Amino acid sequence: MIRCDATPASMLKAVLLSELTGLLPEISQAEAEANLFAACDQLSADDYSLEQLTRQLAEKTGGDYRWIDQYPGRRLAVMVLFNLRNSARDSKRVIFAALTEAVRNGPASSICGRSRASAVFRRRSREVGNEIHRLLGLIRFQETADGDLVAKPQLVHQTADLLLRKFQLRYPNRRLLFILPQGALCCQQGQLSFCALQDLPATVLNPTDDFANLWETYYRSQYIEARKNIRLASRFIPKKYWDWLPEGKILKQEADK
Amino acid sequence: MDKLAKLALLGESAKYDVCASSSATPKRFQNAEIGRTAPSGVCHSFTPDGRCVSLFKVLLSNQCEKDCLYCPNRSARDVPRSSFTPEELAGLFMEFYRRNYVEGLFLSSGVRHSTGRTMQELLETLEILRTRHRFGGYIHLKILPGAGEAEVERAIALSNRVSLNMEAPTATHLARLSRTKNFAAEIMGGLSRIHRHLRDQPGVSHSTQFIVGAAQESDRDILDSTLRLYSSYGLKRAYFSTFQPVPGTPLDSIAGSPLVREHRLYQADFLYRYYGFQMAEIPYNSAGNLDLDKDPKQAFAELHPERFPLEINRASLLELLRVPGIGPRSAKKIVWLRRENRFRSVEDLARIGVVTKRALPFILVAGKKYSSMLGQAGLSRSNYSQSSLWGDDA
Ligand code: SF4
Repeated sequence: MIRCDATPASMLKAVLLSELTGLLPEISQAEAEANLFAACDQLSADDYSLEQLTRQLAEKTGGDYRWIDQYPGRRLAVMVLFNLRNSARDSKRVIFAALTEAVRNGPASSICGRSRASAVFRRRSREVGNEIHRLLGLIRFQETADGDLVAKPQLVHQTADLLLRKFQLRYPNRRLLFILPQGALCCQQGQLSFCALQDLPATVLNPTDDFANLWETYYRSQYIEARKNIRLASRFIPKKYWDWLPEGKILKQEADK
Repeated sequence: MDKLAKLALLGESAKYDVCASSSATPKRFQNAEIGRTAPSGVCHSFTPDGRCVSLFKVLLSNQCEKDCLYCPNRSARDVPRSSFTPEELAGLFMEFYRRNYVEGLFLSSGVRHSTGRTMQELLETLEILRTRHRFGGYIHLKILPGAGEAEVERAIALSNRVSLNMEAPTATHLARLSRTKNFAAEIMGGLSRIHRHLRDQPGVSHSTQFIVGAAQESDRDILDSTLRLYSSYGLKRAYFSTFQPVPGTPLDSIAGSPLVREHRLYQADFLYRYYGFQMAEIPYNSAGNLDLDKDPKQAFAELHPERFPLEINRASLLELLRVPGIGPRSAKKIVWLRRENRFRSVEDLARIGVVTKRALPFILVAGKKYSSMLGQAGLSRSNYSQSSLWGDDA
């Protein structure tokens, strides 16, 4: 077995090593689980460099793996990261299959989702990418008296840290907080930290920054009734967000009319 | 009038303007403390009509001395009037931006007192945002027809995008919409001023907007005019806004155009900008209009059976872009993927985003034809005419 970490580089190295040795790649679990396989042959992917592995594999197969250092390799790494962040349970199996396909047939197939397996890989990566892109617009902050910006995002995938880093570019001088079910994720000057909800002051947990009225007034002013198209609107703001967003109730009212 | 009432009135007055924060080319403002432009547009909400709320779209004032016949803000119309002060508007926008309700500002205004004075107030608002609030994010400023050289130059220095609305494709058409706007001096003169000053300001672009269906213009009139703006005035983007009659205006008895007309114009515009089509290849009917029932790319393909079917494993990128159901992304993927392996099945194409139902009549996959072009509904050459390079109208 080949052990690796749940990171794009480590997983790719495990797949390259797997192609060289025929052993199966697996993500390292807790110590106890590792002991279960103590009797098996074990290699650690991170004991090798990418350069070493691609050179050896090129010698063995005659293949060209320069794409790993070029745009397709970078694109694939982002897709692996997004798959790791997807809430689907079998993401590791899908990633290993897509990476193996990329190493054997070239990267285009996995990146474009040409085969059935890589189509799942691509779809899951897009789900995470879409959540990031959509929520960059839909997450709204409340401002505390100290000038912190606090939001309660509705996330399906593990994107909180990725979103906060993007928001930090927009608000570089503010402390940003996401209140999540398991605690608060905070970002300040690019540094992420996590804290328990009970450690936060009430002013952060429930800021009294009431902006909803201004927003609703503005939102209503932009609506052109003659063009009403709820189907289109709900394609862009799926109904699962309607209870979370303040304008969701206006969309609901219009949908019911 | 309090802040809320002003917001309702001046937001409503700007709602027919079309804009987007997408294609924001990065432009850095020195000492910016808040705000950043995003390369691909971020939508912060969608109204029940399905239109994206991306920018804080508002008028500085809905008082206007002009009388454009379609406009809800025209001087002769009896409606409540109000204005923000530059200070007030800048502060209000920052409240929205800080809380992430909008991606940037789209600022326009009625012509209050005079073009020069209104432009000064618009520019003052932008100065406050850029210097006092140190805002480095996206701003789109609408330049008023007749704005002077110095005002245009300053507007470009402070904005990420500026626009001046054409409204109509020619002087004759504009005369049907406004008695006070001068097409040659104020519109075309303004556009060429913008074009000149943009050369010194990388990262700033300009756009325009047409009202569709109020001036008896044809689609060909609009698209020909758009092409001229792209090629000679460095225009980045044209927007098309279906005319909606506003009660209490001289044009309130004209029926609004069907929304699908606007959609077809965008499709034709995209064919030119992203699919390598020449404007002369766009198929119009004898009245110079696009077929409302058919995507212009589909219409083109049906009009040219001699160009199809194309073998998916051999066709060039430009050829692939002419196949209905294949967009720029799928076309690029096809070219990239077939270097690794030939396409052998339709499923492979579907998985990479090709709309196979539409594409199959026009392609071969590994030499095999899966659907016949003759089965396409409504294939009738006589309904279309190809616009001639030498000008049918001459
Ligand atoms: S100039 Fe014409 S279009 Fe613009 S606000 Fe005044 S009346 Fe309306």
